[in-house]
Amino acid sequence: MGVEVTTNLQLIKPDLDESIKENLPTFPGWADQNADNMDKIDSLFRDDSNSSFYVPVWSAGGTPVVLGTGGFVSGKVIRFFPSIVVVNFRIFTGTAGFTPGAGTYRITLPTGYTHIANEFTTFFESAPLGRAILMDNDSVATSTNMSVHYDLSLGTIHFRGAAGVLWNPTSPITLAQSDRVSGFFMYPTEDP
Amino acid sequence: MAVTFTPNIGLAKPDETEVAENWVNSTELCEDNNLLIIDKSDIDWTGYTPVIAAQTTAPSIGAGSISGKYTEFQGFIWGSFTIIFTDPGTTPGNGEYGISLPFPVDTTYHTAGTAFNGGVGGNDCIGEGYAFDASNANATGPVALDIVTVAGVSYVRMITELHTAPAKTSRIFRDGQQFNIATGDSFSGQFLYKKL
Repeated sequence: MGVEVTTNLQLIKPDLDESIKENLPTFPGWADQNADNMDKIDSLFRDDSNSSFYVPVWSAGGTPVVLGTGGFVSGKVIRFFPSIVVVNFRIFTGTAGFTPGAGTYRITLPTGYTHIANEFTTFFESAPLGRAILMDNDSVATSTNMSVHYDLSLGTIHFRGAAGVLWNPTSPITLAQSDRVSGFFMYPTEDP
Repeated sequence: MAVTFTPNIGLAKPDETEVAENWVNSTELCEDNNLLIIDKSDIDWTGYTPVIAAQTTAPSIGAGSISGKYTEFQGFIWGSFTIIFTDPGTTPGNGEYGISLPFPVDTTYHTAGTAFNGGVGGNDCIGEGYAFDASNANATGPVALDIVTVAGVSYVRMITELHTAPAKTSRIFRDGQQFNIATGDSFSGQFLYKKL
């Protein structure tokens, strides 16, 4: 008696030798196995209880960013059936004490959701994953939005402004106190 | 026959005794389970008619069209809208625009504003869109969509990119910014958010 399972969800496929009754240690009983199958299928339809909050790490390629008073970085993540991850995130630079750092800005993926599907990552940074608002508190005229990209080499998210330049402390705006970023991105992962 | 059920879509999990004593009924339960899985996997698209509103006076699509569709899964709404402005009767209205969503957003999950002319950058960004100016290619471009809830209805606002002609005086799409809507212009977008 051997237990065969399906390829993707590992659902148990009982053979002719198996019975309803438990026969440990090799066979826990079909009722038990069937319950495992139902739980696996059911988990694909989980509701927002699968969502969670996370704090992306916002970094610059060189000198680190330092948030000012009241500054924050926040994020929320959910994985949908079967393996699409959606992230919403917000950044507020804060007031006194904000230091923009130096280098290309990046944020991290949520912990536990970093295994981006291999076939997707071959599109090295060419496929935008989402969009973000960049609010320049000093000037309406320079407020804009950016496309959101995955950086295969670093496994992080970076951004490109309207002119295509990677988001950094001086482009597309000179980042300063009370500026804000709000965005979303989505990507496929390997098996849940 | 008493059985236990899975938490999300109610799949039956008969125990050993139940399986042994009620095999015929168990087969029926399996069929029920299969139907549940098929039903929950086969997600339909539903049409809806968005409303385009504004801070002061709503624009008019004239003889144009406004349409949307959405699907729901796991408590989230994924949808899209298309608005086409066609004369006679196209008017740009006055104030920052909002395009209604099929359901109010869940503000325990999302951060949403409360006015069409409220601040930008503090609300969740839930999608992206495209504003097409039929008379000026340079004014055409992508927009980010953030959320506000006004009088119990949730809307997306179109947050524009940099533009210089006309000079940018509003972060949010409105009459004259980033272009004054006229016949042949259109808005389109897609959104994904958790509903209330």
